[in-house]
Amino acid sequence: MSISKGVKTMDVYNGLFERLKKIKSISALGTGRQVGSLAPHSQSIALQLLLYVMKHEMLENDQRSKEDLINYTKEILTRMGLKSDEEETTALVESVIHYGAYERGESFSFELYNEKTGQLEDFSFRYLVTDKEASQLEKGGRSIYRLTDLSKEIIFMTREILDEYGFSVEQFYVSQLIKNGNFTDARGAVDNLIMKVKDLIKDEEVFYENIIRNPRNIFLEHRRLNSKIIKQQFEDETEVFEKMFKWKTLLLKSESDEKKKAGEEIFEKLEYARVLHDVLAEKVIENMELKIRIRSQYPDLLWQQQNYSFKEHIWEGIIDQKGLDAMDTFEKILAPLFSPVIDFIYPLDWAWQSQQTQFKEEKSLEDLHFEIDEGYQVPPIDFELIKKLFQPIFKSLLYKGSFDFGSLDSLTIDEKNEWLSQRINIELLMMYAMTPIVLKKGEYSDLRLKLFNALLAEKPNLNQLIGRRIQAQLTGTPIQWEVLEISPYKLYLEEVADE
Amino acid sequence: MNNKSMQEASELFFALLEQQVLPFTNDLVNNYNKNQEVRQGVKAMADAAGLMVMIGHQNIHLVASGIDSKFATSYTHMKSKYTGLKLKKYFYLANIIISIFIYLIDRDNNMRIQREEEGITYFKLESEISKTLDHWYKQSKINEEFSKKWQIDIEEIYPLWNNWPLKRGNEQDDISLLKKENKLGFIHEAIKPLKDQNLIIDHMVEYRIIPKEALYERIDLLYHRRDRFKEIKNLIEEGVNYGEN
Repeated sequence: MSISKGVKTMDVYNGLFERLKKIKSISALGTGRQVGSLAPHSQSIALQLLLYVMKHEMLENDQRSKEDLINYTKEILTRMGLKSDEEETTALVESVIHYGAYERGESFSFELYNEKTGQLEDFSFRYLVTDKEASQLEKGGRSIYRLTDLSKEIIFMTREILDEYGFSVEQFYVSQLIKNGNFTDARGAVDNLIMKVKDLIKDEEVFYENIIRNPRNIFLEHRRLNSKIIKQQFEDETEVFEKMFKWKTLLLKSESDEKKKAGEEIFEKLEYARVLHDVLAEKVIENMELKIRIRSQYPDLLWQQQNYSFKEHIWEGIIDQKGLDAMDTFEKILAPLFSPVIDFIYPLDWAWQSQQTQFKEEKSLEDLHFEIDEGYQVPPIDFELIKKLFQPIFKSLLYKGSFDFGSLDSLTIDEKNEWLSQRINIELLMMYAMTPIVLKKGEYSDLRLKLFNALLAEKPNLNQLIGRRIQAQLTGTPIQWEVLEISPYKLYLEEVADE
Repeated sequence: MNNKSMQEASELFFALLEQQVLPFTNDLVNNYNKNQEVRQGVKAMADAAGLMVMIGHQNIHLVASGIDSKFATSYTHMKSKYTGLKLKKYFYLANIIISIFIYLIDRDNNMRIQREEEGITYFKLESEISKTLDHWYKQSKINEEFSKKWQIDIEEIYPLWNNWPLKRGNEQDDISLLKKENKLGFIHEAIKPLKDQNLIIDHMVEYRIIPKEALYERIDLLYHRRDRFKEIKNLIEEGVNYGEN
């Protein structure tokens, strides 16, 4: 049986009722009463109240009465910059304690679908209940509140999202369930574990991309822990996995067939989780190394530069506010977003050629130790061939004042093959078409002038072309060979007064 | 410059012409990074052709350096479609649409955000365009900073946009079937130059436009750098007549 097969068999309905309870308890938070203008913030304030109670409970501080909560709510409102109205503030605190009018003291109550019975069932709960030990009610003391298990869960649930130990917590939970032989619950927990580790892997990948985009992103609050602690954490987690696998034989020996099967399935999933965990560890360590490398080797990348953006500086700062001088200016801003579109197509075998080049390089990798300095040598340009091919072109320019690319269509098969025998032939032809050039005598690095001077040395009558400019227009006829297409360029000569 | 460098430079230049974007893993790009002569060669060819070589974090790009490029781009193709006094306003409107799209997807601080994967819906873009044109139309009459020429253009573009229905045809219609005389159809037209260069995914079934990494690199290179920003600011202010009514 494959690992992934085990993962797919997660039962959607298993535990639906329990899940609904959690969702309901979160969504009903802060909705116990009408709180007027505070309505949009009731959930936020209610959660802060729960956190307040938890903190005081942990510290065994009894300042957890309704009045204490009202006072704390006022603090919250000031912090959030909201107006505090005595009546609404009281209503909000009461809405966390009871459902409906405070005096009636009702619990929150909802009907939820239970998948096991197939019926709607009543679900009643409270967020806060009276802490009997702390309240001293007999002596006429006020009610001191404590959290219910449900509200503790809400806090834990929301805490886990923030917590970077999330994986460890989840893993610990799984291990406890397995240890107790509770395979039904463990199955869901392992699914969560797998999801968690996948999320963490995704996080690392995004973090890596962000660093590549902008090295200064290494300062992002990604993982606050230093590398030593993280490595230790991974080792611990790996150890927990190992421990769980050791239990496997032990646990499964004593169980019934049915339970054994469930147990095997869980260990299969666990194996998958372990593989993912290794992947995660690798990525985290890689990212940390990348961070260190950037800091030590490329500190200049980290210098604070003023950040400009299209959004803020060009659009919001200028265009949106006061427009442009004229609409045509848009063109200057946007044109560089676009690449040139070429209007000729390379012969197919040139595409293959570059493939072959790659093969050659791959092969040389095997013998890296003695070929490393050589690399792959590009075949040298056959300059004599170039001269031969271009001579008729210059002749045409000299006698007719122009050269039509399409005239190459009349070449023989052999001549065409010569043109196609090296890329530079066609590329050079395209260079003449692309940008104007003034023909000059002398030593130049521009291949086009180099060629002209080489031809000039052989055919002195070409000197009539010196000082003339070669221009191109799309008024000729196109090249349409089986393997090569070029737009209808026509080269022509132009007088240059000032050369 | 020796022949080998020249050849490598031209090979890279032409490969860029063909592909527009090449990743650093490409062998030709490797030559570029190693050999200064190759860099100079490529730059010389690009300069002569009115093009610009830009080095991103992961790719090398070849783009038009401005409006004087010798080469046609998908953008200039669009421009040539809308020449002449009567049609020019369509091109202006398309420019506004592209700019607003970039404004919407531009991210602060290079951070990956939801929009990168989700993209921008046609409807979001449409409402942003309408909002912007409304704002300009109202402001251009009272705000003295708007130039006379801008005012005149806005007065033409505003009714053009607002007289169009949102879309034409029934709900099932694919955007590509819509003619351009409606808002969504024209958005589709306007962003076509981006799509043709593989910078966005124009998801016509879900009415979403999803920017690709190459577009983000270009935005970074063109609009996020201090020197480039200065250049653009100068371009904008060149011969400026803000508020001269």
